[in-house]
Amino acid sequence: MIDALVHALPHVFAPANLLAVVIGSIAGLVVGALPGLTVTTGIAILIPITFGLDPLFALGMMAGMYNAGSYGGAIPAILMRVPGTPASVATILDGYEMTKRGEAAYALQVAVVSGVIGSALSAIALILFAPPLVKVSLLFGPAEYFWLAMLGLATISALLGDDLVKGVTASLIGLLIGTVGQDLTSGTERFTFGSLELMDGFSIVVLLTGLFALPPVFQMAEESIKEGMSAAALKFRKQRSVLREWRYFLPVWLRSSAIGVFIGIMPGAAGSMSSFLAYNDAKRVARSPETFGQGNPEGVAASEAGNGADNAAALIPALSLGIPGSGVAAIILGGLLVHGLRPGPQLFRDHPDVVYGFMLQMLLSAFLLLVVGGLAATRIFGQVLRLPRVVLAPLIILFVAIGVYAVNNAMFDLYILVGVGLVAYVMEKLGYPQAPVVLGLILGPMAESQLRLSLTISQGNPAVLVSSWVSIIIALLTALVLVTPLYRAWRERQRKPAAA
Amino acid sequence: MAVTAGPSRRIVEIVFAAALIAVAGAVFVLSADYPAESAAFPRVLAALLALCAVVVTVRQLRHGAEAGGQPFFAHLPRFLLAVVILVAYVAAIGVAGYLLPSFALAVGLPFVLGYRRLALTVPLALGTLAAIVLIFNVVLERPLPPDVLMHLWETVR
Repeated sequence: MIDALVHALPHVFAPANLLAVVIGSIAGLVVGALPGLTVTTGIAILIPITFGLDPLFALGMMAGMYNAGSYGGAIPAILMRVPGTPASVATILDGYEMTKRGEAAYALQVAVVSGVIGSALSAIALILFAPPLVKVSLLFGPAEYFWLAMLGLATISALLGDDLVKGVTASLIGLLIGTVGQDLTSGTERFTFGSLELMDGFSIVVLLTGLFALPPVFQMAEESIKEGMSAAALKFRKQRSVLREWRYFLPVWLRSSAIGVFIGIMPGAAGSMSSFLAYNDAKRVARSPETFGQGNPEGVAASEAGNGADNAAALIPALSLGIPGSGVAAIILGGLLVHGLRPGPQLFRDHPDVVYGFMLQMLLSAFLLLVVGGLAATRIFGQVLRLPRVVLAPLIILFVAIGVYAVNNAMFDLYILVGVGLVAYVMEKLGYPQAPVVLGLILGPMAESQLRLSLTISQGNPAVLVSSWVSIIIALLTALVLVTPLYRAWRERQRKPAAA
Repeated sequence: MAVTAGPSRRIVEIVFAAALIAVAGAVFVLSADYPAESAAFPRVLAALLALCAVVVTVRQLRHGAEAGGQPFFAHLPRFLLAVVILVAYVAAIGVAGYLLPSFALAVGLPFVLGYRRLALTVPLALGTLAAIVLIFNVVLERPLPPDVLMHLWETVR
């Protein structure tokens, strides 16, 4: 592992790849800070733009966008009481109170330093834990891979969103989309309707972009907000130094980062949950918990460290097993596939420079946040926040349209983009999570081919699917993940009549 | 309110679930033409999709009236306007190329949605398009959709 890291270092620090991390970080800061846009949207816009470029350049931009975007949400949360991303809701509780007391600059400093520490510890966890986890996957045969795909889909379906049925429906939509095109085993064309463009199935770039980049555009058009942030809100004066007070914050940073990393590793669990759990934990152990919610900087530190710490950690199961820890990690999985990089042991064996380089880029982008997310930078890049969202919406379309067209130079893709975007908007508003669609699309062909391979080897005997202890464990885990929310819902229902 | 809000969330839930059932049915029927090994996987998925959609529908019919009465759209006319403009934009790219329709979209969409400060939108549109041409055409060497402006430029030359 050390050799691979050392070998990847020159690639990471190549000027072009370094520039990619910087650009990604700046774009991530802007995307995260703009309410209505999320890191997922930003990465979905990036994928068609970076298609065809060197993988480390593309992944560097994604790494920068991931870390900076998750911090960017804190800027409007602290300055305007508007969460830039769902994860920054917990930051509002104390951050905005600090702004009301005239401590906006100090709150932003606490947020950025805490985000850097959380993100850096998370990247270190990624470097340490992903390679050993890959070795576990070497124990897997076709049946185990089939169950692994099912586990990934089950976790994402059950844990993203509030409704298991809708999560499973979204996964099934993705799985069905994945069946379009030529069946590689039998050569049969499925659901292509004679269209040459569909012979290889739907382009994952087009689907990712349509699913995640267009719904915010429709939302912005519908809301039609004609005011941006006021210039006065972006004027800061220098206040206390967080770094000088490191002893005060250290316990919060460490505990919150540990929580963030743990939540990040759990497949499907990462996202806004870690910032809330970290915040609650900090409040629980604080000497004066009653000050939380009234402008306690520890609240901001806990929320942002927890938020940053689940970023890279969510990639641990994604890179090693192909099961993303969060919705963003699912999109990054899609980004890897677009560049011909399939997660799992082959990725670590065949492309060590890329995978270890990407892990180092996650670490590098964490530290880069100090520069890109500092007060002066926030003041400069935050100018985008002054744009009314109604003006921003068509500009996003311009980037998305040309990015999608450039993949195959095909108008067909643009029509698919609009169709997918509309369906995604309806799904989003109805509470169907979109990440399972992506994962279904990614894991569907693998699940089908591994299932068919298992059945061929066993001459059609389905018992082969539970013939090893690894298969049985993963199958049981899958069942557990699906049954737990059903059990919880049943208990809720039992309690309600009792309460009534 | 009724004019701008459009259908209720409950109605859209049921219509969407019905559409999913229709898709599942179509997949099931179309799969009949494929060899058994190619048809099995999509057929299982279609059956499960239909089952989930039925569950959503039944839930809406039984309990949806409690919370599903709120409007689905915040502002239906604006949404429809955005959809029509987006479809027209894509169609226009096929006819006139990328640059002119993009400029019209960047300036026109905010304008029809009530934002009339052309002093901001026009330079912003031009700047964004210049950046896109620079990134995609010059730096990444990717072709833009065949553009009427380029034909005009060639004719003038």
